Amino acid sequence: MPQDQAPPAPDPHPPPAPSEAVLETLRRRLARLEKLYSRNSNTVAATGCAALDQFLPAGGFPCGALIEFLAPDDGSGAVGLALLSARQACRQGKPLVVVDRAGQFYPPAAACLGISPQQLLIVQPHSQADEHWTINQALRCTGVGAVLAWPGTIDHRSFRRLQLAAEHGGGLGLLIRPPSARREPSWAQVRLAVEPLPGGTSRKRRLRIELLRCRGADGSRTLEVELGDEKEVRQWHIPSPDIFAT
Amino acid sequence: MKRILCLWLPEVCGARTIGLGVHANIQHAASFGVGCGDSVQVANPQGSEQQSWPETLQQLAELCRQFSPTVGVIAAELPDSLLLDVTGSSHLFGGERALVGGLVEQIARFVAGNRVAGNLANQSPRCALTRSAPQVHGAIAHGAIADTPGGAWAVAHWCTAGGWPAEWLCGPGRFVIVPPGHTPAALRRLPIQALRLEAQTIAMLTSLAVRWIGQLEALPRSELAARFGQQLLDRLDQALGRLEEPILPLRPMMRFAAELALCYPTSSREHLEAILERLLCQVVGQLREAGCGAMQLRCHLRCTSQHRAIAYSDTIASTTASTMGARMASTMASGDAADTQTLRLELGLFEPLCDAAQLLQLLQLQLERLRLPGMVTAVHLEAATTAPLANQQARLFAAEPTGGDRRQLAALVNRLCARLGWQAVLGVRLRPEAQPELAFRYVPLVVPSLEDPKGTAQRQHSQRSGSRPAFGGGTAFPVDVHRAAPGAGVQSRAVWDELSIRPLRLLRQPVAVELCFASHGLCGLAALATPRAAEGALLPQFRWRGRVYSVRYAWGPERIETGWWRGQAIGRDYYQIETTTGCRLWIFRQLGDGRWFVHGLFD
Repeated sequence: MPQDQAPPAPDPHPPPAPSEAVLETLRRRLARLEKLYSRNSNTVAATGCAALDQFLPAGGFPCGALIEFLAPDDGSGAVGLALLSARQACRQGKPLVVVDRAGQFYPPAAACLGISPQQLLIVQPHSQADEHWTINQALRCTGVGAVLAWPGTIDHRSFRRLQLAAEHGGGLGLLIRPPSARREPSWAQVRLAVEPLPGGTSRKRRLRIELLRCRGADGSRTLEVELGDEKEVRQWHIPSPDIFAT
Repeated sequence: MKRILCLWLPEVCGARTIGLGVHANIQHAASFGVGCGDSVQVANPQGSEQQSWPETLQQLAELCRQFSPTVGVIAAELPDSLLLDVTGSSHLFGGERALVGGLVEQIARFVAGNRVAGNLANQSPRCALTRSAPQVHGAIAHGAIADTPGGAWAVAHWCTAGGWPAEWLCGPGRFVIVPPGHTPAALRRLPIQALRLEAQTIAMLTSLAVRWIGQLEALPRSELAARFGQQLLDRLDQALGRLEEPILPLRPMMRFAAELALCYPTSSREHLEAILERLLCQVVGQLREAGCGAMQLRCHLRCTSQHRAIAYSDTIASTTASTMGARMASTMASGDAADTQTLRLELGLFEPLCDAAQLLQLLQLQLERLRLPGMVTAVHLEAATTAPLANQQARLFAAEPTGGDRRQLAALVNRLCARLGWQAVLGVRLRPEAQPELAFRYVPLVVPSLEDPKGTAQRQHSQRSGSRPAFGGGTAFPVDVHRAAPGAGVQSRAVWDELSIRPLRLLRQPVAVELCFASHGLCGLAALATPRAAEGALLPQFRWRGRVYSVRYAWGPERIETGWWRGQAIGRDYYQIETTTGCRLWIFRQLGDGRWFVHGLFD
């Protein structure tokens, strides 16, 4: 770039001012170039929350990608948000792998959110190395719809490996991480900071979602959503095939 | 006309000696030294494939297979008899007498072989007698040949009763050959017990002074059926040859194993992997022949450990056992030299697998975590549990991507289990329980380890029930609520529909919280649930994990009182609370002492 700016002499034929149409063409070409590098990015999974879908440039989370949720760990509602998109990603009967090292994930609550217990595959690794390995393996598997994990700290290399695995497998990698991870570099395609807001007296959950990073988005944007439409939430008993049954 | 040979082996599995109306329970199970174990079961025609028979009976069935292609059992109280269909095959052995002679000789040899195998200690007096008196060694095998399975069974069990024509008797022991067509006549002089009836029926008939099959036959059939049920008539007709009775064949025992003793002990990983690959190819070949896939693979590595290294290996044994659970245990082989040690690797599989390359990959996952205490001198590989393999389209090229998400998923579960252990890879079943901690249940996805007593119980359960398990291939799982009966599933769903929202994170144990406002406290929560009180300036506060939370709003209470029949009665008032920061927690007040606990987080 400095070389371009270097020639001091004024250009005798100044380029025409970039019109909106030109910019749009360039954007599309760029997007097409980007697609070449990731196989599955042309499909988009709905997030399960209409406001968030509109908020995201692609209209949902890209499949085969890592989605990072930065949220405090004392009942912020981020996991519920992640599970809404997991439900969408697992719609065709694919399983949701929950890598639950702490052993505190409560499957009946997931059932209340519309994920059939028969679709859940819970893995409880003992060490962090095992945990990262498990996430990697689960993401790499094409039979898995989504992976939900609390990976804590991830170093640069394992993060990149996870991203490649997600691209290979084509599922959603939903990573719940503490807000302190905001300063760390990320390989995730979408990074959201989720913060709970005190609501009114209804049970609906109010969240402030800050889009920290997303391909195609200009700068960081903030959205406030209301979750927990009870009628939508109670639909898990739609018969879904037991994926583990023969 | 059919000819059926029944071999009565009273000593095989603790049989009952039945005389004329005299019953005595004599346990001769130990006499063979080959344990009959706890797997004695009553035969039933529906589930015969899943049943496990005493090992000795299986071995004897193998032995008898040279005399007849059909070797099996029929429904009886104890599986102490083998039935051979010798129709049209006796002439191959020189007639029925010669066949019986050959059979008795084979069995005597088998019994002698088992004795030599080191079971002299637990011989019963009867066997000691048999041993000291060689002329009666054939008495172990009583038997009969008759026209029907039921008839052969009856005559075989009463062959010692005496009174048989001399020309019918045969062999060194008691063996009765009923000539063709004489079966009904032979049966008429036997007691009704020979029809394998229920004890209740026998008692009732005896009280009516009906003791002999001949007497029974003389009674009018319609009244018999009305009074004693169809079973009595069926048994009678089957014995007399008016009704066909099938022999339930015992299928040949399969063992899929391979081993290799190393001339040059090694501890190199590459060598071991090469050896394992070779053994796997052998085992997979055997499996493929039988149309089975491995569900559980056991690998034993025999290692030498130098005298110096024994203490070292003991520490390894304890660390591996503690870190990896029961999956990988290292034991000292007690009988052998003190410096030999057997390391065991166990692999549980999600679906029957018959692919050497994939099995090797899974074994490698375990092998790379294993520290060998010394040089490996022998490797033994066995497919401990197998299941029929579903037909799969063979791939033309090895590099072709394996099709089917399901197969991918099975491979994933296999890999996860191989590295993390079967306890760490779980499926979920909901239970209709009010207590939040008990409202779901984890089910393992692969066959649990063999050492685990609970796992053994589960495996036997599946064998007995004969049902396909809930997951994967031939693995063993408890029948779960949702699949057992449609009604049960609906019921549990109904329970869930009534419930309010549950937190996504449930603490393993409820954590008691410390109240900050003694005056107001959390006792005011119930009041807070009304909108009016929410405007109050003084919010209830509590301290948890070193932070103070102010409760802004609360929903509830949801009272859960349950568990008294388990001896652990709980009474809790649950509230969903929102703090001033917007976080939501699930807390409850214990009904007895009014203490407050945090139980979950709405993450």
